[in-house]
Amino acid sequence: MGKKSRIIPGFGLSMGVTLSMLALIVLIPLASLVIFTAKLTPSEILEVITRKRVLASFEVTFITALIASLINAVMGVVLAWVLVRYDFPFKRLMDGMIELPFALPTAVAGISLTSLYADTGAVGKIFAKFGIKIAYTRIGITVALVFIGIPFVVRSVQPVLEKLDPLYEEAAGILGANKSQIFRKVILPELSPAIFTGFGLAFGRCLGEYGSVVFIAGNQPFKTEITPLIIMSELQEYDYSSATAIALVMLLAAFVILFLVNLIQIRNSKILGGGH
Amino acid sequence: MYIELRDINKSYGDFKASDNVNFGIEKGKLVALLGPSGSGKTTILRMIAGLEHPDSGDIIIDGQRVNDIPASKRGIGFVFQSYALFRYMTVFDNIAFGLQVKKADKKAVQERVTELIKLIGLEGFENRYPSQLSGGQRQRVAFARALAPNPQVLLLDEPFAAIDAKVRQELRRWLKEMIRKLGVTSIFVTHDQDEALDVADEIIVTNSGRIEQTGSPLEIYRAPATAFTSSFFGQTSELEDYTRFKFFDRVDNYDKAFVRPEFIKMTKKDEIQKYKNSAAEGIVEDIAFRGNYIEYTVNSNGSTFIAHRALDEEKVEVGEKVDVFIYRLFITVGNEVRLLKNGSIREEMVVI
Repeated sequence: MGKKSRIIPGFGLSMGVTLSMLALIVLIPLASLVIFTAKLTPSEILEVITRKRVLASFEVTFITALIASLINAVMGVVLAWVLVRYDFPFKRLMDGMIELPFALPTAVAGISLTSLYADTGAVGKIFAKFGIKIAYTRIGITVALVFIGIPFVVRSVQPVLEKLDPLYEEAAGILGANKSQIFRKVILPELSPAIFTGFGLAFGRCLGEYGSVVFIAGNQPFKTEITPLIIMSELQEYDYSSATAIALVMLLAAFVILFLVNLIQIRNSKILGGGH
Repeated sequence: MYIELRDINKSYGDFKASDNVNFGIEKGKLVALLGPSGSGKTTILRMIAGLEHPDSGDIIIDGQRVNDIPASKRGIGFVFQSYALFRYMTVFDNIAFGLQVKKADKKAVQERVTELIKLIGLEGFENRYPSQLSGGQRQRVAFARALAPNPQVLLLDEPFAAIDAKVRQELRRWLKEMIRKLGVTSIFVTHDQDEALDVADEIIVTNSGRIEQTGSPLEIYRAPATAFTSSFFGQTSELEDYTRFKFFDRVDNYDKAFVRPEFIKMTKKDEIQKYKNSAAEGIVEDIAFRGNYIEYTVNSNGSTFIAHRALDEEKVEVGEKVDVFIYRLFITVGNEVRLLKNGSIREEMVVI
């Protein structure tokens, strides 16, 4: 048996690099989370993560992250659709702007969003007239999270939409489907794996988002205090084990989300890949 | 005429895809749109379906002008070259699609789909996804999907192009039989003359956006009406100067002369050639084994052309000298075609 030639030489070397990267950047830090938490007994851990203030922060974080990711799933598809299907001036510029939330320091985003959406800010003023407060409420947190999460959905859906053969739409059209039926029954199933991926990534990111949220949240305990902030304050009090116990809950939640997204992907690749 | 195209013109920028296209198709016929790639045949099909719109002219189906009727309301079934089966739907859902979008009764859908699955011989495959089917099976599903809403017209774009040669033959027969049985007026696009000759009741030959000729396969093959058709059908070779071959009438202003292998009798020097005196000497340049016959490339009188010999005839070697007799040939004058018969056959008939 001859050896297959590979483009990158040396399986030993490249695998070694891969493992060291994974270990140094991902595995060891995550393991240390578990080790720090292990200093507490199970009942202590339970006590830490079921404190009223912590539970309230979980509620704030999960609900705002979920709503923001759902908004992103819808708006991301609309944005991707416009960028792929239509031609208009400054399209390339708009396309590039999608990535800004990735590039911008999150604190900068937080401050500008806060000043914009506060009751005295340009946008906040309009809503204030109707008695809707945005900054320093959960709505404000959601706005910041939408800002942070939008690139994930757009960038996962866009390439799929670009590659989508227009024949499917023509075929559905000739068979008598109207535009909304074509979108629901033919285009959406093609996009849904990408939408789920984008949604999962955005949701995971939203759970941990700190910089852009703390400014606009107001951080009132039990109302607008997010979990990452609680972790920060525990750290400032040198209560490392409590901080890591709470962090572990977030980690598990993110893991479950990404796992579910992967399950959906496996099912889809089975449908598209053949086999019985 | 059931389907009629009148003075259809269509351009994409500078490219004229349809140039004054006129033809009519009778109800229940299976018609082939045949032409080389880029000849505008697919454009014609897509315009009938309503996927493209002519710049000018009328498309008439069953006495009604359909130009302004959207594709979804024309009552047309369309089989795409790549089938375009919905990848996330099972075979059942694919076939049911055209019925479900019209909010058909659930039981009626079930019945119709079951009937079609039986028709295409894919019982037991209802819950498979398209990726789990072979090319031929996918094509059958595409066919059933197009037929489900009972279309008045079935259009097929290169229906056999994506299928391997062996299965293609089978599917051709199958499709021809199905369409006959169902009696649905059908048009299929192909660039393969064998396919068109084999399957169609009628052939419409297209070339650079124009209709060259319409007629039955036999008519078109036997009596090509334009310069293009005469060279397109059969395994034609062009003769350099046909007057160098003996006993053909002279036509002074002819443009090109074509022969097909069946117009030629090629014999070894020691074999009997009926018209020895009128035969020309040639040299065999190449040999190709074609399964049920052998194809020889022969050079004679400055022309290179193709002749066939049966398998049971003695083999001729490359470089061997042979006698070649041409029974008849096509010459083109402008866009007209004339069939010239060898004079020595006529003389003999006079003698008899």
